[in-house]
Amino acid sequence: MLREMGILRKLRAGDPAGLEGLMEVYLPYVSVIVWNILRGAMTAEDGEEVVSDVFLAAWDQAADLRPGHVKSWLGAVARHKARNKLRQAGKTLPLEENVLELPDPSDPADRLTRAEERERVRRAVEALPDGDREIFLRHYYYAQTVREIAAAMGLKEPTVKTRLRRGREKLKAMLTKGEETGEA
Amino acid sequence: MKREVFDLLDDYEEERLDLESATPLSARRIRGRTMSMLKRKEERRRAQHHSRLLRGLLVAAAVGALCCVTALAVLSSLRELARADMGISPAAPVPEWSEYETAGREAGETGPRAELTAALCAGERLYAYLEAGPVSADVAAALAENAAEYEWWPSEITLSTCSILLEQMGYDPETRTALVKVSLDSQELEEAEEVGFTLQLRKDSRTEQTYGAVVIPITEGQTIRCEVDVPVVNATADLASNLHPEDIPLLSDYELEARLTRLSIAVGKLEVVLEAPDAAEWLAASGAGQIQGNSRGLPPEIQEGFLRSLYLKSWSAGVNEALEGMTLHLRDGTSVAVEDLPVDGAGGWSAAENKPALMYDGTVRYEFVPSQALDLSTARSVTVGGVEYALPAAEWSGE
Repeated sequence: MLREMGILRKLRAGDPAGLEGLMEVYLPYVSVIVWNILRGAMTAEDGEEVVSDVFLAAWDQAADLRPGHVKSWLGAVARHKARNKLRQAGKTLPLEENVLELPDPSDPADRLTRAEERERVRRAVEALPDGDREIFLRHYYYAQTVREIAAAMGLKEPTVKTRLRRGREKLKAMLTKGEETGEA
Repeated sequence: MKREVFDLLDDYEEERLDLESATPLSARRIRGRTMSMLKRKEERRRAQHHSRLLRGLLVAAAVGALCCVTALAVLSSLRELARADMGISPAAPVPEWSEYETAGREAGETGPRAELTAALCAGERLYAYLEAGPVSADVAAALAENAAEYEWWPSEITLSTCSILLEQMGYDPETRTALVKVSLDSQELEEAEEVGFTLQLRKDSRTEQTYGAVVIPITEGQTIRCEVDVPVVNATADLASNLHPEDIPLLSDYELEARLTRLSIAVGKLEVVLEAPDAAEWLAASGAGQIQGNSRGLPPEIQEGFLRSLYLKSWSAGVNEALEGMTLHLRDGTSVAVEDLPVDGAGGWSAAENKPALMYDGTVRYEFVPSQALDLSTARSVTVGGVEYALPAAEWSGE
């Protein structure tokens, strides 16, 4: 944490050493996220550009980086930029049952605000058992394949798919107005 | 209502998992590009600050007569800003540059509208400048600073595959109009007659405003083509520089030779063609098949992609070395080194959008993409690999 605070101080002061320090710590993490999303559709050079853009965004928005939350900030920006790059090329992520069909409220007033939606997603993910949550995030947050998750966690692929389905059901229930307990 | 699970996790704060570091991305190149971009960005920021102080005067960098605008220019319109960005001389624009009549926005007009003001068609690359309004001053400022929450977005693009980037280049507070630059790459541009999309402003990835449909006509371009003969060497050290230290002992001691055989110069890029031993021969000579690198433990198609990317990377170093010092000689007696041309990013020669079948057969195109238009009518000859080659007249595409 001390090292992170030092990096943030330098970034906010406009010192390039802060950006170098940030890459020293987080470049592997950001690279994995970006490459998981772009592989199969883009070259390594495309991926390197996106990773570079993530760190340049951190430089531009140093004021938004909070100690203790730098990793999640970089992760979110890496997902955002890599996904946009993929979509601009007309490609989609090959994730399991990635589309959720949610009821469209007849009254616009019943629509969730962005803050409400964010909170419900957080609660749905946190409510999952530890193992299910890790599988869910590895796939839908980090875009790891079912095969990779099975290999990394010592599970069979059908087991991974079943637990992903449980996570989707929990999320769908939580996002459906009136089912705030989150029970599917 | 359909929602993607991946998108729903956009705001989730994930801090706990540590993933395995298994990618073919080069940390060294990412660091190099990032610090180089940072330097350029800071230079640009200082230049923008300077231009604000001068109330509309733009200081265009002098890069030689090849890129046209080299002096102070008074910018009275967004169109002039577009010209200055692309290095277009108002008096003698390159023929690939097209300007379009716009109705403009009246003060007090409220309806959203986007209009094409100018475009430069450069083969597989297209630059277009759009005027879009109304845009509030606050939003324009956020877009100019490249803030994360706002972005210009092309929806319903009429090409099936392309890479496209939208950036805000300027803003007129009187008419609340933004100048948006579109940079688009697609092999489909060679056959297309026009490209269309709907311009949107997005906030936090959701549509904030739709400014309407834009159609950009694709026009023909000129190219100078020249046969060259420049040797390129690909040796163990070129491949080793792309590998983890533990993989280097697996390599064979090898040296392969290739030649750059063709050079072409168009308004938007310089391109060379490398004729090299194919990927199979390179694999046999280099012993690279033993290497798994960051693809260790990943599916076979990832491993295959990893080896193919190594094949290209191993030639890139040699190509850049062979083209070091390449110089264009102009008709006015002056010369300009290619490496001194203005670029976005780190510059240098990199593999173009090659057709895979040709690429791994050993015919690879490399390109150098300057950020401003090249005026082909000024070029007389080129020195590459220590040999000066006279340049023929430019030809229109299709000739």
